[in-house]
Amino acid sequence: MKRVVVDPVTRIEGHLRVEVTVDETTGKVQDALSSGTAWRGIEIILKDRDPRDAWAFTQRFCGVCTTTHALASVRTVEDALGIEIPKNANYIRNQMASSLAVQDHLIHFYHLHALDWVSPVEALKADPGATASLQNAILAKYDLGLSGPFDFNTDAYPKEFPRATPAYFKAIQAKVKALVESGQLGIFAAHWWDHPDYALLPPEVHLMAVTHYLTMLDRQRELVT
Amino acid sequence: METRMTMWDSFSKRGLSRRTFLKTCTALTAMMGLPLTDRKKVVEAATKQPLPVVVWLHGHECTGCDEAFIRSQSPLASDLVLNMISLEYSDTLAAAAGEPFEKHLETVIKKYDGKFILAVEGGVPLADHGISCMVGGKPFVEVLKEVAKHAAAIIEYGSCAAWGGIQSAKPNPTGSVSVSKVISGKPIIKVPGCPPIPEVMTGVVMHLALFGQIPPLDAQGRPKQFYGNRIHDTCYRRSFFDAGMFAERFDDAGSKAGWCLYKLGCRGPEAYNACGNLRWWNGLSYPIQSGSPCFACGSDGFWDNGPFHERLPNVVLPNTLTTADKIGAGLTVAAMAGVTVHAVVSSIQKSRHAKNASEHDEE
Repeated sequence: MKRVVVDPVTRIEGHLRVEVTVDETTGKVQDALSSGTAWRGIEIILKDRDPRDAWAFTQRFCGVCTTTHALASVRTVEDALGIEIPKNANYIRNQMASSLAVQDHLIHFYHLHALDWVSPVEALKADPGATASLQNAILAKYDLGLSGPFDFNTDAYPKEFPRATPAYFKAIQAKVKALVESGQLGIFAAHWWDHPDYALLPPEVHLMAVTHYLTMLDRQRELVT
Repeated sequence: METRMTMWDSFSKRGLSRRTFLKTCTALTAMMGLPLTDRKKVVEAATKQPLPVVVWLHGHECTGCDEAFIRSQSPLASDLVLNMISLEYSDTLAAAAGEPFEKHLETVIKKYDGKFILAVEGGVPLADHGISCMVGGKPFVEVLKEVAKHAAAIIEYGSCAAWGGIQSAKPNPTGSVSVSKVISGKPIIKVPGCPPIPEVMTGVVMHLALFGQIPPLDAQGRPKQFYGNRIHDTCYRRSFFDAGMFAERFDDAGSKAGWCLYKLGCRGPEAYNACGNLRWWNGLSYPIQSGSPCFACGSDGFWDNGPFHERLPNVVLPNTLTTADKIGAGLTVAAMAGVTVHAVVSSIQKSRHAKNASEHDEE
């Protein structure tokens, strides 16, 4: 039996410790526990304060999904006091919640979760041409074919959508190569990039995902403050 | 084997042109609040200084400051993290976790002893030996003290690190305090805000990174270029305040007309921050512009200064200490007097007209 401890768990909000007891011969997990290792006492702090302020305190539970907490808090207070809101107010809240959901999904999927599966090192083995084909195939397959009032005038917000060309992926690959070779790996340091599970995905997927990661780090800004 | 790249090295290795590099330096110069005549210094520093190492610790926090950081427009956070600094330890973005991650921290603080920038997000709980925030099996207060010993300078990102934050609001169950209450003997820059403006966060770290110097700080340890005036001083609704035109409820005509939010609890007169200057989302808007009163999220102890929608009891006017009611009442009297005068004058004119008309008729 081996007891494995991961503390701190990274790429999350807050502080988490996970302990696992594994049978080394079979690789099966015998026992596991997770422990949130930070407690701030905000529930206690919120007591006896003005209910109109509750959302501001509750929102600070998490700065990533912050809007969700604020909205839930406001609805809770309204429910307790029997307050009904106008339809337009609800529409605005829905818009707020949806904007956050889109932004948070991008952040979570790429910047928090992706590195569990995606490796910049594997991305270096990819063929840029094959990556471009893969990207275009995915874009075609998941094209929602939306029609309707989507001919918005977007002149106010210039949007460049780089074509998924081999040259584009080659340039990204070169940037990754420079980073890996610099020796100052920053956020990619001290990690087991040689773990066999990283080879589960083909190199082209790694390169495509790394490209998305870099692009979305800039794009997510445009969705919410 | 490991070389310390400069920012210019980093740009050119990534295939970015000298022109792009110079454009970035120009943007950085402006963002750090420096005159453009200083751009030459920025370019020199970016060309010669090796990429500064940054260690980012998390205490009692919500990750809102990390989120604000990655919203920065100028410079883009991705640019900063990948090309301008070497972010060697960050719980939020790092690929590694657990033991290898903690070992890397130990390596980094030894290797760059006295040379790295320590960014702290979050308050420091002290009650019960700091058990309310444990990282890698150790109380956060211990980790902070150990890492801070080796840092060149410390940035307190956000009101939690700068002042203690929400967890230190009454009754402060975890005994949480600011970083400065625990660490001394190192230059500390306070960057308060809940969260701070993205460009303020990146501007401060870039100033430190490029010049190796603390930017000019005010008496409370905040960079003067970003905390030099109150929200009130640049408020675009200030003329309504001066004229005594206040929104009284969120759904009244005054509110819809964008009148001063002082009576709805705006702390603008006491809040030092750049929200009225830089605004948020690259200058798009800020709470007051959206119709929400400021609650001074960059101020010490603002959580206990509620309720947020009740107005401040006193506002200081030149030469007088008075209340918004008194100001409003005084102005109403003046206005009423004006109305009365106007009415009197009108009636005199009306009777003159009538007299002229009758005289005219008689002719």
